[in-house]
Amino acid sequence: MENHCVHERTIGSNLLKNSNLSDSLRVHISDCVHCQKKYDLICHENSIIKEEVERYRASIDMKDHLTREVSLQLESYLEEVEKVAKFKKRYSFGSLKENIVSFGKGLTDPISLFILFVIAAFYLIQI
Amino acid sequence: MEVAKVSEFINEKCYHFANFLVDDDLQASQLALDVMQSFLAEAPESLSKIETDALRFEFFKRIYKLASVRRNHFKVDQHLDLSGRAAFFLTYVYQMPLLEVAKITASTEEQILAKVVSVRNSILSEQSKERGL
Ligand SMILES: [Zn+2]
Repeated sequence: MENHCVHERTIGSNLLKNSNLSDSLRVHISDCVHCQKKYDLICHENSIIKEEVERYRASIDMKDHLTREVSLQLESYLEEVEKVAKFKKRYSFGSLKENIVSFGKGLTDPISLFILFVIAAFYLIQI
Repeated sequence: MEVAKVSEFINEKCYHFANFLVDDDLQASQLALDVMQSFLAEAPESLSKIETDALRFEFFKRIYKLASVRRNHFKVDQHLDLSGRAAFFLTYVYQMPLLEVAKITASTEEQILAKVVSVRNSILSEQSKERGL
């Protein structure tokens, strides 16, 4: 189609990219017969395209299927992560340190200290 | 990671794109799920950023790549112009920046614009045939 107005091309390229028109162009369209025609034609075509594109959306059954599959995969992954985290916590360096400290605390009562003293003395005498 | 958000993205965006590409609902669902699985295997923590454009672009890129690899096994129309349909869908429907679409389809921005127009026209002529116009 031959261009009759310099703005027809701009309107065309904007609408082909599905992007919005500027306010000034909108005002121009309402005053220009050629641009009005072009605009109406492309809008009509865009509505056909939109309908065609919508046809490819997931049906309700497909959505159910996909949701189930995604949940299944992600949840089993998350469970695995949780298991690993629990395992790490149980055998982590942090808990080892806690165990040593609690063992050390047990040695501060007089009897334990006396036993330790006797053992140390025994070894010193041996040397 | 929010399972519901990932699930919505797969349902609403990935499947829609994949199905437009290959025009086959079974293959499309497989493409969407396989790409999600590839993320789960390689970088599962990235799925918590499902709402960022960068991750979404990466999903579309992988879907397009996988579709290209698998197209020889498809029982669907071999004449489907995968790169054209990808360029059209991402630019026109998802309004992605041309630069990103260029990266995904390995074409120049000019090629993409030409593809968008050509796919658009072929849809229109197909539709007018169907409607008997
Ligand atoms: Zn005009």
